[in-house]
Amino acid sequence: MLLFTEVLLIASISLVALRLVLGPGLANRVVALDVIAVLATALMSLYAVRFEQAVFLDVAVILALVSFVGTVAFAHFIERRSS
Amino acid sequence: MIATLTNILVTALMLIGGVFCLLAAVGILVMPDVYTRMQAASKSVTLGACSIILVPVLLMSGIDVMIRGLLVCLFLVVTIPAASHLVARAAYRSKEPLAPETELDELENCPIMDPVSRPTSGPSARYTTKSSPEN
Repeated sequence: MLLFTEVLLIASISLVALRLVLGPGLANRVVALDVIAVLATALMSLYAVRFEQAVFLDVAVILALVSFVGTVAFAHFIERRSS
Repeated sequence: MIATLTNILVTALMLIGGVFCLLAAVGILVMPDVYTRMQAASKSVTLGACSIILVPVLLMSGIDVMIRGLLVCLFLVVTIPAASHLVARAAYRSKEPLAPETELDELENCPIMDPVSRPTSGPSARYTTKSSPEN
């Protein structure tokens, strides 16, 4: 069951990465990058279960924080570039 | 008894999380414009990722694991809507095109959303563009 969920998550990360490569414009790519960061957070918590290491949850905390700050910064850049 | 209940709960959470994440990825890939993609990205990814992050909280022992997992879950629930709201506003202001199937654009004549007519003289001036000095 753990392996199945990991395969589902990796498949969805690769689908979103396809949108990151294809996506027309900057906003599509920012959305795809944000979703990839959140899915990587979920994958890190599954790795914490698989390897019995609570350290991976620290990685998940840091990844969630950094992805939020990065998305906010990208939104400001999109808005500033247009005006 | 408790172990069986925990196993059932963990399996259900993993199944729900994986399926919702995959559906969100498919939605991001096939939706027609950036706003509908953002809808698929924010809502179903929140549900899927939060239910996956609750798995180590149930399976691993220790109060620190529990606190960290719940912290990540709470943080994602708070920040994903805020971040996607910011990106949507920035995309609309930078004239990101809507899908051709769009029937109603309620912000079409809203002067706040127009980056050209927006005055940049102060923090409170952006809400008073109705009587801007240029017309």
